[in-house]
Amino acid sequence: MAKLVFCEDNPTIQKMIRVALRSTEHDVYISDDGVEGLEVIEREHPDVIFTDVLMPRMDGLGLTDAVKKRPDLAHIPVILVSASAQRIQLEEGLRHGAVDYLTKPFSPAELRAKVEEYAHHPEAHQ
Amino acid sequence: MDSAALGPRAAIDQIVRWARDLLPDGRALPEPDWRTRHAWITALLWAHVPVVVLFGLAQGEVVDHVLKESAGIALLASLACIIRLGRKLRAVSATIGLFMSSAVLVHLSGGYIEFHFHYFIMVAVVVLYQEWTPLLLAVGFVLVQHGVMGAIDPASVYNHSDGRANPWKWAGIHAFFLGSECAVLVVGWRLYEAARTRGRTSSRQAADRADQLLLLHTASRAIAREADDAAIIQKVVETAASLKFAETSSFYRWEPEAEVLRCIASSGDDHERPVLRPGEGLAGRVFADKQSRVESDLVPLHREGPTMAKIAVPIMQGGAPLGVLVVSANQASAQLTEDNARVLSLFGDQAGAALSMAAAFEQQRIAVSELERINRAKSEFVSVVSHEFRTPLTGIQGFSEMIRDEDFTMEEVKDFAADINADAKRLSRMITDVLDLDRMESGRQALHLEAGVDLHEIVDGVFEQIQPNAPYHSVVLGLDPLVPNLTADRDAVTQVLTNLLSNAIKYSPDGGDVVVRTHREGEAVRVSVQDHGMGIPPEMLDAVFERYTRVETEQARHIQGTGLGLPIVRKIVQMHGGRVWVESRVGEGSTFHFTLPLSPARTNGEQVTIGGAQNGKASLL
Repeated sequence: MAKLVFCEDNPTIQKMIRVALRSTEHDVYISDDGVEGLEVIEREHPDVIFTDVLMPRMDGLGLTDAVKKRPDLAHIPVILVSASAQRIQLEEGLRHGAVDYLTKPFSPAELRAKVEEYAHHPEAHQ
Repeated sequence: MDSAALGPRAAIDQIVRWARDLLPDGRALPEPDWRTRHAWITALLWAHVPVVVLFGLAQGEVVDHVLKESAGIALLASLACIIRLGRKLRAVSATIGLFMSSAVLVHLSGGYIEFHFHYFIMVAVVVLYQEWTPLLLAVGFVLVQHGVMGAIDPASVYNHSDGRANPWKWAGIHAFFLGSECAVLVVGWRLYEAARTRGRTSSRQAADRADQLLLLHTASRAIAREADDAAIIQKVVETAASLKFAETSSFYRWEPEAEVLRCIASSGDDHERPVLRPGEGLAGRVFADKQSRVESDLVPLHREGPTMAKIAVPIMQGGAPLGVLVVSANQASAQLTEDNARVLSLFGDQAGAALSMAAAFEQQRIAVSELERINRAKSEFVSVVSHEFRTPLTGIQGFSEMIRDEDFTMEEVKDFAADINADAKRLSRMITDVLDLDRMESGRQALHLEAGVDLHEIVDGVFEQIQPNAPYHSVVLGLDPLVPNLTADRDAVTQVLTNLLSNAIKYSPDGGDVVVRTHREGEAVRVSVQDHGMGIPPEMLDAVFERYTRVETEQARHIQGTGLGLPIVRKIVQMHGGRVWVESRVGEGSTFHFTLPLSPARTNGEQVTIGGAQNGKASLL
């Protein structure tokens, strides 16, 4: 059982994530943008962070930067979720400190696999 | 200045000039020719030494006397061989030697009359030098020798009785023949010099011309490499000014808008840049006639100085003159000829060709960069659109897979299906947008105009659709009751209002009022949509209506769209014959305005019949 934070502004995708992870017994926190997401992360210290790239107020890369700057949060793996399949954007995300990415559209099975991979072995990816 | 004193002096000058023209100059013989001639003359002189000895002995003279006379000749022949003495002294020595030989032979012959022919031959020999000193010396020698010797010892000069009795008569006869011979020889000498000078001048002209052509050829190649008008023209002006016959040059370019010829480049230091009309001034006349022209004896207009000569040649581009190249020189320093004009014309043709090439190259470059821009915009668009499409696809794919693979209650399945449906509809709308604009822009989609369209009904409809989805905004309507019904495409106008209203909401994320106003303006209706959002930077105001352009401010970055909303608005308004524009202030909000004519067919029939024109019926019907 792990704590997961998702930052995603699209309500349908938020709902899809909730339904897809209902059976996993992880604690799932979903926020609408980067600013709200950072507050939740600071409060909950999750095991994994999934963040959309394009979001209002603070985008995924900004959130990654903010997390990596905080010594108490820097160890948490960040996975970028992007609608862009362009390698250049994904590589930029990795340079900002993200460990992995998930491209939209993704299937619930893919999402669960990523969650399991990082939720159970977070230390392997630091 | 006293003009009376000047008169005779001028006359003398004139006579001297004539004499100079008439008589040979005496410096024409080149050194190698002179050396050859001198060698032969000296050899002839040496040959006289034994002849004098043998002839003297044969005449019964004593050896001592004969040797003394031949020794004098040998001494002069030796002097003629000493190179260090220089051309003049050597010629003088040889001349004196030859005439001394004549005198000795006449003397040894006892004044035998036919021996005087020797003098005549020697004069001819000496003229071979083509110099005045030997000839004058020879003539002087003969005069002095005949005069002096004839007076002292007539018997040694003339051996017959009449000669001895009347030495001056015979001296006169001899002088006449000698003078005649000299005159003929001098004329020959003069003709030789004239021919030589002509040959030299024409070969110098040929060399000059070859130099000029080479210069122009090199310059032509250089200007052909330039891709930029200004650089070509600068090079043309510099090259023209460096031609041998030229002093300064200027380039007049035709300005079609102003219909004037403007001097845009000049090699001279005067920074006057005249502007001429066709037919005005030399450049103007050449431009009008498309013919090169040479003008001499031009009096400078604005400054004191010598008269000028000018050549102007037209610079042609595809049969039409695009400018004129003018070369000028002082009258005193150069005589400009038709030949110079031909040379300059050749160069002018090259310059015209280079300018044509540069213009074609520039057009090509603009076309290519425009294509590149369109291509880049397309790629960006594809990337934006695919990005936008992926968001609804995520919901569709996610929910449908879960329904397929997992067990849910019927209620949940219905709920997910509604989500799938909503996203599918959104996706479909996006695709329709892309295709609509494409069809409208390519002219494949016409408006479906109908009469009696109630604009306020459309505004209300859009308001009811939008307001529930915008909880933080309140849409305020300020509708003018005097707005009459329109002839318009109902769906298209709905789309315009939907796009403007949803933009107003999207770009004011902090909420606030969105005000829609209408009012009649003559034969048109004006609609404004005002928000209190982030606004548009001034430099983006026109660009926002272009395809795929999105406001790239920090705030606007996160607002999603296809970049097609405003281009669609503009296209629809334009097709109705209306106008769309925006006023905005960053941080305060934007107001989009558009106008629709009450009846577009009357104001812009052409636009309306796109597509409908094929069957001869406007969609208006």
